[in-house]
Amino acid sequence: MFDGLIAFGHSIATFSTPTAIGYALLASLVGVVMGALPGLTATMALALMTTLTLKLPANEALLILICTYVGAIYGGSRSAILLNIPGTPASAASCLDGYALAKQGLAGRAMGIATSGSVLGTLIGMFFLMFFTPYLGGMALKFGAYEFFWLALFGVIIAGTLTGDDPLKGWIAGIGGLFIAGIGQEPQYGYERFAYGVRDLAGGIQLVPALVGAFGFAELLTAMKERQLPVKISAFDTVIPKLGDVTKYWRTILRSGLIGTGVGIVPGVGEDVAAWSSYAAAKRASQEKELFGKGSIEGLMAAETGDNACVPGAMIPVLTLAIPGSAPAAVLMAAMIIHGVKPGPLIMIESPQFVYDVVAMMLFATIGILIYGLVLTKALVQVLRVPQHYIVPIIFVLCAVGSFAIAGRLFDVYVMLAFGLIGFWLRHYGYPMAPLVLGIVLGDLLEKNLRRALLLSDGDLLPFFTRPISAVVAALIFGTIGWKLWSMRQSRLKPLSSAS
Amino acid sequence: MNESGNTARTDLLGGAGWMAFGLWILIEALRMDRFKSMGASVYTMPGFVPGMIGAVIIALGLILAVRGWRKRAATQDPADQAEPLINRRIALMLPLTLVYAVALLGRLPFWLATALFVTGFTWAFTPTEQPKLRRVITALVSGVITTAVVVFVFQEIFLVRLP
Repeated sequence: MFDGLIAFGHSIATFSTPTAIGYALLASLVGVVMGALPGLTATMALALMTTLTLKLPANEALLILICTYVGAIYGGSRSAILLNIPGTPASAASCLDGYALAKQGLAGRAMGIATSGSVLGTLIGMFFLMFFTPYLGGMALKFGAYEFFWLALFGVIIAGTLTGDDPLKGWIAGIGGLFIAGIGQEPQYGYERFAYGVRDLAGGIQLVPALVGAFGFAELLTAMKERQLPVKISAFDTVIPKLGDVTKYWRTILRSGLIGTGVGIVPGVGEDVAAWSSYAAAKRASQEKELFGKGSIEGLMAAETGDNACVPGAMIPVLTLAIPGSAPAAVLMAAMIIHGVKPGPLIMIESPQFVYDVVAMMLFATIGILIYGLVLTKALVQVLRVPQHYIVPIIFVLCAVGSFAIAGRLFDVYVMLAFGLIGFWLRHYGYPMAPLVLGIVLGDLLEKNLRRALLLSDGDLLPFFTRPISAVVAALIFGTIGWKLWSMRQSRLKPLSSAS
Repeated sequence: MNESGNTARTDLLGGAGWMAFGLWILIEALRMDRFKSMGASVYTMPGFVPGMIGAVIIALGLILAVRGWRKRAATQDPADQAEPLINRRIALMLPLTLVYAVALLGRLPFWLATALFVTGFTWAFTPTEQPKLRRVITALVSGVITTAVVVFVFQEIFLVRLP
């Protein structure tokens, strides 16, 4: 434990330079602004910032990305409270009580609660990231091809189950992502799959342009579909968090922090599920249940603590298993690989200091959001007044430039366009994007380990179900699928029986 | 009208579409080289995993189509129609973005292509209630400032190559 603290102190010292602090503050600000703007999500912010920071040293680039991530998840609460529109999906739960408080003339207090909840949530998540990652990393060393195959599939299936309204469509999106990951030269024989002689396609679909398209261009199209209504921002009182709100609801904060971190650790789930789970748990345990949805401080605190605790939580499987805990974490993992960092079970052996660097980056991001939450709220909410038709073309230019910047070829701009159009189409028909992204990220891991496992067992499927961890993960996957299919059948039978 | 594109009909058509897509993947996977001369087993053949993915997509597409079919039979609600995918605003936005990304980038200098796109986009989407001259001036200012900032930040600060 003390070794961990010493390593953490060393990481803080590394980042305590004027340049790093400047980057951290700037990136947190970019994150807060992008998160606050409805239609621009944390995933999109990260994908765009990944392209912007390509030429920076790995540590500085990842510091910028982590600060953007934390800032964006926090920033979503601004528009949720002031406009009743979640800036990011993670803030949807904050609308319920945040906007209700704003309507009561308590918008400033609501934003103070969001700030304290977000800061404390990140700190709780950081604690687990710092102390549990080494243990989980040690455990992950025991994982073999069978376990990694199941974990990759688990990420796709769980993301498909929990991130949309329709699990069936979520699974289709996830499996579609796995297919996309397989385009281009396969690893064993260098055989070109689904490339049809297109040289650029033979190299495979680059993850970042695909993400920029699916989360950037597609979101812009979705946001522009409806004409923006005139923005009416509620007047607000002081945004300084009240100590009483924190001390009164310390149990809720702790519970939500634990739930958020736990949800983050589960591959592929994400901040929105963390916020809703924390909110639901707080409501169940609350003595003031009747206030939930009508301006409950406890409800808002739970949602904001939960979604921000999920951010460090989502980094735990990224670092130990190379399996992202959420869609933004998937982008972050891609950025790590671009910058030469190898996340996975060997991280605690090859570069243990990096884990503590990530915790230190989270701390800098937390300080950033605390500063902006306390000092710049009044100025920052003015961003919400900027009309959509000024912001959208700028973001689209960034999508195009960012996609080009990865490899300096226009083909990636076309990939971004294609994924944007596909993403817009899929989203319209109710297919969630997070499983698609998880599928693209995990496709390679799944294929390599499935082939390796089958080779090791000479085609015998039994070890997939008899090894203890494999058996547990397989049971979770089949249990989830079976339960969801059964629920779909039940919901279909109900109206028929009530009609008869 | 349904607020999203989710209806029994779109589920039915979507399911059929996914089945066709899965079938295409499966056929292509079966047609891939099997490298038997190099001693490849079934599991190491390039088409093994795509073939499985194709089969799973066919199965999921079938479930979706059957669900859509049953829902359609159970609810004959005329209001159960999907909102169209493309409305007037999307019909305006798509050509603007596609022309910029496909026709202008790489053919015109980046600054010119970007200034033209941002100016055109902003002008096209500025509410028509605003005075004409103001629309033009704000669009132009937005185009020039965006281009200058993007070029400066990407090229000068972050040393990223522009198209």
